[in-house]
Amino acid sequence: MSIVEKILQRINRPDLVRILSDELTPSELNSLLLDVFDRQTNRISPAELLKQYQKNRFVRPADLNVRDLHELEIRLLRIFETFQFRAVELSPVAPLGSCSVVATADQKKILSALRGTEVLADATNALALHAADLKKTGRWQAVLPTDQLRFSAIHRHVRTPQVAVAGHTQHFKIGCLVSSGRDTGGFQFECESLAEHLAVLTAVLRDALQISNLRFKLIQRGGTESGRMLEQVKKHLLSLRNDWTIIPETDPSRENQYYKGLQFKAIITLRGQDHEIADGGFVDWTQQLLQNKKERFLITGLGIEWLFRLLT
Amino acid sequence: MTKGRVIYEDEAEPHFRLAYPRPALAAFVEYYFEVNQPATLANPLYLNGLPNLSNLICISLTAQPWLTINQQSGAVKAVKGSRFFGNLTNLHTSIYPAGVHEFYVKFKPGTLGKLLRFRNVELENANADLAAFIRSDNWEDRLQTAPSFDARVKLVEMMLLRRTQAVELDYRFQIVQKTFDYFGKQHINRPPNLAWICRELGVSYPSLHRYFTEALGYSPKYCQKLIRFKNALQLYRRHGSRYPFEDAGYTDFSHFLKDTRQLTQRLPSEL
Repeated sequence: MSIVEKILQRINRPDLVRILSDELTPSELNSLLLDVFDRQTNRISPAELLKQYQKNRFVRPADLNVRDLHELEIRLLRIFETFQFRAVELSPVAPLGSCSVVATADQKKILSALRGTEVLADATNALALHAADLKKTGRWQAVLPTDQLRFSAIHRHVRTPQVAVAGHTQHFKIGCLVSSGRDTGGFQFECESLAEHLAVLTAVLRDALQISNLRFKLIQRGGTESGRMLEQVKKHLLSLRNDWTIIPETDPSRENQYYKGLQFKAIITLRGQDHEIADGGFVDWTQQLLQNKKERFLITGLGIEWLFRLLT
Repeated sequence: MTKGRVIYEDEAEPHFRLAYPRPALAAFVEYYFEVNQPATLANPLYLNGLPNLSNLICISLTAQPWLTINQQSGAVKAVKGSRFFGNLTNLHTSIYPAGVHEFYVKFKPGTLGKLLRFRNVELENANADLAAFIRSDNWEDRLQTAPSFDARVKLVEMMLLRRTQAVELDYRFQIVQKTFDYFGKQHINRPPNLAWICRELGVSYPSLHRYFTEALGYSPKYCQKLIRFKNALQLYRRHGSRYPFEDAGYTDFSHFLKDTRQLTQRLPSEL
C-alpha cells in the first residue's frame, strides 16, 4: 500500500485524490490549496519555522564562496554569448509539467508548486518552452532553413530525490545551452548544432579553465536511424576538428528514453578521477510543443557548481 | 591538441597581410598587418599572442565579438569593436567563433606611450576600447570605410605622421631603441650579450637598466628574453627540436623548453 493510500484510508476519504485531480479545474484546486496552506501557516510558530528550516533538506543555502562562483559564471556567460548562445535569465518557476509532460521525467522528482507552476528542475525545458513560444508567436522567424535559435542560461535547479553521491546537493547550478532548428535532411542540424555545443564546451573547459584530457562520448539512443545519425555526426565532428577526442558508444549498457537518437557526455579528468561534467543530446520536446516533426532541439547541461567544487 | 597558433610576420598566408612603415614612422611603428580569416561557431579560429613588449591598435572591420583568455590567470574577456592592446606579460589565446577581420598597427616598444602619454607598464595586458585612448580623428570610422589594406595603411600613416611630429624621442629612449635593434638582429654565431651591447652603445649596464625601466618598466634582460624566445619559437617551428638552439641564444633545447614553459605554461608544440 502506498503512502497516499494509507493516508486516504486513515482519513476515510478514498476518493479525495481523484476528486481533487479530476473534478476540480486547476484554478479551483489552486484556490483550495491556497486556503489549505494559509490555514497551515497560520498555525506555525516562529520556533516551529526554525525547526522546519533545520529539518528541510531543500531550504539550506549552498555552502560555497558566492563571489568566486559568480566570477566563474560570468566567465562562462561571456563564452556562451560570444558563441551566439544568448543568455536568458529564467524565472525560478516553470509551468507545472514542464519536464514531465514532454520528457520522461517523473513529476514526483520535481518540486510542484501552486498557481500552476513548479520550481525549475531543468532549465533546458524552460528554454524549450521559450524557443517554442518565440516560434509559435512568430516573434522569431528563420530567414534560412538552417537558421537556429541558440540560448544559454545558468540557473539553480531543485530536484526532490534524496542525493546519494557525497558532495551532491538538493539544489545546484547548471549551465545550459540549447539549439532549436529544423530538419533540413542529411542530419545537418544534428551535425552542426552538436559541433557548436562541443566547441563551446571546449572553449570553457579546455581553453578557459585549462582542464586537460577533455573528451566527448557519443552514445547511441533509441529513435529512427539512430545508428546512422551517430555515424554521420561522428564523421562530421572528426572532419571538422582534429583536437577533439570522440568516443562512440553504439551499445550502451544502460537504456535511456530521455534522449532521441544521440546522447553525449563531456568527460574530464581531475586529480586522477574521471568526471562526467556535461551531458546532453537531442530531444523531441519542441516537436511535441509545436506539433511539428521537423523541429529539432539539442540540449546541453554543464554542472557548473560541481565543476566549481572540483576546481576549488 | 590544437590550442591556437602564433602567426609570424613572414608567414605567407592568404588571410594575413603585412606592410612596413615609411622611414618617417620607422622609429614608432614596427609594422601594419591585417588578419581576415573566416571561421564557424563549431570550428572557431584560435590565435595565440606571446608575451611581448609591443602596444597594438586594433581596428575591427567586422562587428563580430571574440574572446581573449589570459592563459596564466584564466581571465576571460569578451571583446567587440576596435581595441587598444597593452604589451602582454602572459600568453593570451584569442578565440574567434565567427572569424576575424581586423587591421592592426604594431608600435615599437614604448612608442605608443610616448604618443599618447601613458606609462607603458601601467597598461600591461590591457585590452581596452580604443575610443578611451584616441578620441579625435575618427580613426575607427575612417579606417573601417577604407576599401583595402593598402588604403588603410596610407590613411593610418597620414594620421600618425601628424601625431609623431609633435613627439621627440630623447637620447635615453634612442639608446633603448638601439638596444632593441641589437636584440632583433640575425646573427651568424650566438646573439650578442648585454655586456657586449653596452660596450657598443657606450653605456654602463646600470644606465641601460635605468633607461629601460624608465621607458618600458622592464629590465633589458627581460626584454631580451622575450625577443629571444619569439625568434627561437619561430626556428623551432621551422626546424623542430634538432635546431642548434645555441644559435638562438639558449644553452640548448632544454633551456628553450624551460623558457617556453616559464613564459607560456605550454610546450613549444602547443604554440
